Amino acid sequence: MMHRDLIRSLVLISPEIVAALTASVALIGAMLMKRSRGNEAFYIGIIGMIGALAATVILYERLTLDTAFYGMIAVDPFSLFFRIIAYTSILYVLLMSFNSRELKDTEGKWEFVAILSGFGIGMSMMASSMNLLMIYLSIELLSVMSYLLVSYTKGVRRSKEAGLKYIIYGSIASGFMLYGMSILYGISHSLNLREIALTFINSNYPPVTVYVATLFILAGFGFKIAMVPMHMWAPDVYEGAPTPITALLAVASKAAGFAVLLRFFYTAYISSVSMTQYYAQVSPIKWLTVIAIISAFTMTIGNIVAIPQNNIKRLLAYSSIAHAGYMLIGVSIISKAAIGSVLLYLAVYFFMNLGAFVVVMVVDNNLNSEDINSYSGLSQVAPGLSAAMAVFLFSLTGIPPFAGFIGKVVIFLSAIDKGLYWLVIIAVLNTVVSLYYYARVIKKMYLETAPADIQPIKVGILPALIIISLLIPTILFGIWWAPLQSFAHFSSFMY
Amino acid sequence: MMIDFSSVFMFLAVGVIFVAVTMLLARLIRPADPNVVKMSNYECGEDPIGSGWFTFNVRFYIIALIFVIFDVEAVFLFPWALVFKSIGWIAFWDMLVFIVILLVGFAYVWNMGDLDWIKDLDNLKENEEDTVISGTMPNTTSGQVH
Repeated sequence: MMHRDLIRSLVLISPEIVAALTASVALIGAMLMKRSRGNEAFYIGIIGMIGALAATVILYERLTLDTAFYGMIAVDPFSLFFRIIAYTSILYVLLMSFNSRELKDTEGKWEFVAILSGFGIGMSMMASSMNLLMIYLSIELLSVMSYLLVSYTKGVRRSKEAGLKYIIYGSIASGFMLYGMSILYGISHSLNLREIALTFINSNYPPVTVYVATLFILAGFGFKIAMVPMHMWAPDVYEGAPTPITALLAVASKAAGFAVLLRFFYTAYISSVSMTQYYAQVSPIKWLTVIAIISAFTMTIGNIVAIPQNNIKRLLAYSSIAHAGYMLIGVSIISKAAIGSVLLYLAVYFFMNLGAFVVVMVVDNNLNSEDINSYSGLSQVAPGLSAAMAVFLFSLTGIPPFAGFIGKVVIFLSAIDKGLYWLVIIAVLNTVVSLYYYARVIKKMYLETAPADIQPIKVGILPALIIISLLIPTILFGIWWAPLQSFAHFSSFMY
Repeated sequence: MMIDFSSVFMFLAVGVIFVAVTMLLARLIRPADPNVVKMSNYECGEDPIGSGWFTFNVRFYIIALIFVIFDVEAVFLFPWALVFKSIGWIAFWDMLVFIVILLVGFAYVWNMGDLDWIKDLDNLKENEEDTVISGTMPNTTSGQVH
């Protein structure tokens, strides 16, 4: 009996087993090929990630709403959705690393692949955990791997500084989270999210204590998604990290944060009570309002501080804070439809934000600069690249023919359904503000003349292919979003 | 709920008062007689040499980390041994895989030379002063690494 359960559980985590094997093979490769500066490691990593993706797709075939390892992790459409995001984003980061100027001369490329595989395992575990301890462990796995990746380039002080800042902020945030979890455990006498929900239903809890504990846990999750007031690390870390890693943090780390936030609130606080009451069951303080207010602050601060930025990576960092704010609207409503809209937004955001970072990397490779002023007249030397950047930035703003518009509309509609008109008004005003700083980059590229000494831009075949593969979904899902929307809705089912 | 927390508050208050009163009482009745031996740092009964404020060799932490990994392995082995009979051979293979993964990491650390205390003799001569201070002076370090 136990036997069969264990084997069944091992099958359910087969993508993570493939990723762990990739990490082990990469470490063995590091021993066999010491001081190799070639790109063999990246090929191994790409094969491993494709294997993990294949295992995830196979899991869709035998999908049941189920838990593995005696209720420790859940295997459901929700977790498989985030597994796909995890391994796809690592695949893209590996593809970007072939051409990255910052990672070209690094010695430990094998270790880089091993750490990235660990990141993938951490992320998919974050999306699947049903137990407070598993949640904490997987967040720490993801965090430690990101600290290492951020400071990966040798001899670059900016990168080391970013890594150190990330560690200090991260430790404080996870300290808060752990304290909140310990209080929650003290109240419910259980680490399992379902049993915590049962405690709330039996209403045998001190409300203020639950409120404090949940705020602490929210601080830990909010650190991962760069939610105000836990957003201070984002600009410095995004600026200091090598660009492929910045893209990973902006896309994958944030998605993982939303995964754990949604599952925690939905399973422990919502799912077992009647769907109309939302947070009312948990405490006298209205959670919907609390998260809605945080969401309003997050998008406003992100957008307004993005305006004066002159470094494109810092600008995209503040823009990613603002996008976390938009997605938090969905978290505050947290109905099935709202979760589906957050997942849709995350998928769309994946394509457009990753695309913007690939363009930033290509420009940085050629001009050795991340300054927005170096984008002046880019359309004259690199028309294709500028057009792609313009599409990604317009999509990030939410201009109609592109996918970003659909993401925003679906989230705003779910807020209107719930009657959160004030939040929708703030979000729409914020979108207008965001147009200013995104359009500033586009204006530099198209309306200003290039400096006389600008070098010709070489894009290269691989980056061009990566950009095209991200450009197609950004445009396609803006016109024909029904399949993505139905997939996101299907993925909103949790155990 | 406030009643729940009142006991915490009482505990806190008694803790603070107890320490404060003891310190104050001791200050009032003890003889004030500072001398060199009394003012020196306590270091496990050894005479302290030099100041404790210097850079430690980062290899202390690497060794400590490797130790922790195998410590955790042992923690996993005990419950495994307890339920081994009821799970059977699959438990054996599970644990084998787990240990092999750890051994890959161990082989990596060994192979990369992170277990060698003195990494490079030429390097040692060049930065003799640094290395002596940070790593190989037994008197200085023995008292510091608890």
